[in-house]
Amino acid sequence: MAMSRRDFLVTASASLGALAVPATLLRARPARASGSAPVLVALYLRGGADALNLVPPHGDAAYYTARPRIRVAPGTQLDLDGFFGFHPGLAPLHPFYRNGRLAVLHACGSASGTRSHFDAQDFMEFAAPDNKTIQVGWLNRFLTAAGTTSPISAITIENQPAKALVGPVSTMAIPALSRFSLEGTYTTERRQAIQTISRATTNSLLRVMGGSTTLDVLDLVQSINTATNITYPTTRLGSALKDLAALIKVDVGVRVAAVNHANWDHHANETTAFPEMAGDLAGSLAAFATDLGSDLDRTVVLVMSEFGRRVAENGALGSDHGHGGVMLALGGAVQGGQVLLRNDTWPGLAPARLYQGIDLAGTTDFRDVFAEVLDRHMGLNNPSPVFPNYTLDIARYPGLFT
Amino acid sequence: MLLLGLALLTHAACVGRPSMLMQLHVLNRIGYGPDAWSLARIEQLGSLEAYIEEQLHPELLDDSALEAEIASRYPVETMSYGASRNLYNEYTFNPETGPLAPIRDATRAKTLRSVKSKKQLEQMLVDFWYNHFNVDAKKAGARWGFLTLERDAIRPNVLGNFETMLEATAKNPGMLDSLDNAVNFKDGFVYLNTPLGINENYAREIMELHTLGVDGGYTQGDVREVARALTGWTTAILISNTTNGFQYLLQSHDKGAKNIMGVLKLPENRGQVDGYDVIHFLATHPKTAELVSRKLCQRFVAEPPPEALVQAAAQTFLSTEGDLRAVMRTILLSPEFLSLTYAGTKVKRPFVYVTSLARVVGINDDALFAASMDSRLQDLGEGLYRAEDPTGYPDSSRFWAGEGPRVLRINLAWSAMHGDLGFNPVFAVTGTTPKQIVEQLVQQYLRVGIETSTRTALQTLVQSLPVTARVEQTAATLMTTPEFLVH
Repeated sequence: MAMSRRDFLVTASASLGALAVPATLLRARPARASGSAPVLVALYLRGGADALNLVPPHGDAAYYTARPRIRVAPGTQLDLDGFFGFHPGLAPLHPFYRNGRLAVLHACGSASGTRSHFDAQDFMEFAAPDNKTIQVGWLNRFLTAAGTTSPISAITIENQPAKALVGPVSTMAIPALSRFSLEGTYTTERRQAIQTISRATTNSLLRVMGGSTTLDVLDLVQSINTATNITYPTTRLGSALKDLAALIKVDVGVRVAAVNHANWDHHANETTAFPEMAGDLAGSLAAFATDLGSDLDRTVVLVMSEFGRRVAENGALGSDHGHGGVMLALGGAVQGGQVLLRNDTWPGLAPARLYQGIDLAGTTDFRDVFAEVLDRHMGLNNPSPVFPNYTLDIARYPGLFT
Repeated sequence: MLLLGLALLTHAACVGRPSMLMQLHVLNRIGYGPDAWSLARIEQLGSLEAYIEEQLHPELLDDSALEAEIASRYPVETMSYGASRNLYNEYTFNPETGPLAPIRDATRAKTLRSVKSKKQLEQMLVDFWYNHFNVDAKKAGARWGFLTLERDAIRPNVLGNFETMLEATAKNPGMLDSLDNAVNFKDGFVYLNTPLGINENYAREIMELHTLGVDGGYTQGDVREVARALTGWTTAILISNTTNGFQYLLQSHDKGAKNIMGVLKLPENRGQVDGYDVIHFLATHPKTAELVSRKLCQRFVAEPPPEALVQAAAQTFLSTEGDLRAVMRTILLSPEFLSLTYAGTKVKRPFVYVTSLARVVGINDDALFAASMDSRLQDLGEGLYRAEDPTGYPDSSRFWAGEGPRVLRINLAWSAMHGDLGFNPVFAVTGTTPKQIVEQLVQQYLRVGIETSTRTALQTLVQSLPVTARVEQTAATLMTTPEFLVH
């Protein structure tokens, strides 16, 4: 039987009066720091991050029965709300949860049941589950709807653009700010020539390589001071978020960014690999949030993964591909300090409540999470064009913002 | 007599030398771009078809000097799995002989081979198939096995039989470890004091990525059945100096009957044969023929590939039971390939850019070149043997689009044309006017025409530079123009 967490919470949930009002009439607008535009960072955990170990439902006895060897040992979790907790590796993020800057969304899933990493990632990044004809990223559709204001409106901190950003609006992909400069002699003259050639070429493929915008952005990027007092983990994620923080703080027009974190595909020996992965994720995010300072007010980091993992542990001390997963939302405008569930109900881990009898159900469609962020944080009045073949309803917004 | 003369003339016109554009297209697709040897070889053989046929029989070509050089510089290239694992073991912290030495040396060997080998098609195919069966060499269990995967499982079979290749990859210790089949045992089997059981990872990926494809018609249940069939296919524990790293652990095999896709029904108690039967079933399946053909056509012909050609190649695959040489002949001798329709429609991914640059510019310090390209390729996002997903690096122009890599290419071309990093440019420029300098550089390095706007911009560049800097700086800039960035 599905459990309502109200059975476990001491205080009543702060339910929105908005639920009683017809959805179409109510368009709540969040208060935002005046001046600079809002920023959205999509942080993708590649491989299917194990939601049940990242945010273990320690109040659910079935969690321990299903995972005798790979569970987060009882008592070692960092409690969130009396029912859910954080894996101890996520310790650096715990203060942000307690201070109301971080919200957790559990039992999030896709309308597609695929357990293929590659399909599931595509379906999520194109926000088109089970539809292989749509090959444009959801964030690229957002850019079409919202318009871009700067050559650096959208950026992937990677060698290639994230699929979420692929599409007709051209975006940037830079793996590291420090390497983004012309070397050698006569850089001015050569740059002039390359810029002229890029702008005039009729080769349409080279538009794909961002020919003419590349060098426009060089000046912009080279002028950015990436020095910071904050210590980031010396990992790829740490470096990427450090560069991104510098880009956001200097406010050159970045509105949307994509970052990856690999690899969460823990088919074996999960308990040995997890602490380091979780620690890297939490340490890098915590450093990022701290580094942003007041710019955290206008920034939201949405952490996601293509699916969660199997409820039962497997024979190799790991877990197989599952269905329902977890998302995190970190930022100044986020109503943090809560674990959000559809209808405030934990689907539960009893076999009868599981997706295909084996996986955590996905009761919150990830598109509703995306839609609320675009609507209430990024200011896109009508996010429908971003979600083809899906009817939005603000009643399904999880409640990340008031 | 007159009629005979006319007939001869007509015949001569039909077998005239292929245009430079066509030669470049073929050399840019079945290999890493033109170099002196390949252009001369086409001329010698008289036609592109003859050149392609020879490339389809790499055993006819002589790379012995190159292989001797590589073997002496990078000894791991000729070592058995066991010997390399024992030598470059995880307990040695010396970077020369530690566990990351194999990947460093293999990267350098592959780079040199791709630049200097006459067997260009074979090198391209080895790269394609390694990417298809991708193993991330950085993963702890794959640091030695990735090399034997490429050398022993893939290379001998790229123009051979697909099932033979598939079976060899299924037994490779790098594959077994990174996709966890090495710990795929019957439920409850105790291994090294730990109770273990069925692991689905490899079973899923052998179907989804290596053979049938994600729409291959298998279910979650089939994934588990395939996993059960492959139980016991694991890595050797005792690493002798001669082992290839595979062992079949009889007592860990799930002996029950299996039913795969309602079609392959395996009775109980057949041991290792279960695995061979699954491999045969997958290797000869029509969906596999189509997946393989589609990927090959995407790599060699166009993105997306022309459907008729994909089907023709799949048909060849099925009717020859997976003869990859026959499949490549179907593709490379097709009108779709042997025309200019799709020429220049792919963006050069980093490895292709780096190697094609070296082949036209020339290198004179192999060790320095190979070592320098190792780190550059990682910066460019295509570190060899380092792709992290089992899907490997994407074969799609738009996913190689990025500003960072564009700037890195500009910087690499500059270093190359200034004789750094082992490159050895020898400029055949005798002219002094901007027009002459640009024309001669284009002739030497591109061999075909460039857009007027590009030509004008380069001439302007020449004019803006002091005389002593004109050739190198312009040459460096030329190698980042659209004509050289695509293939």
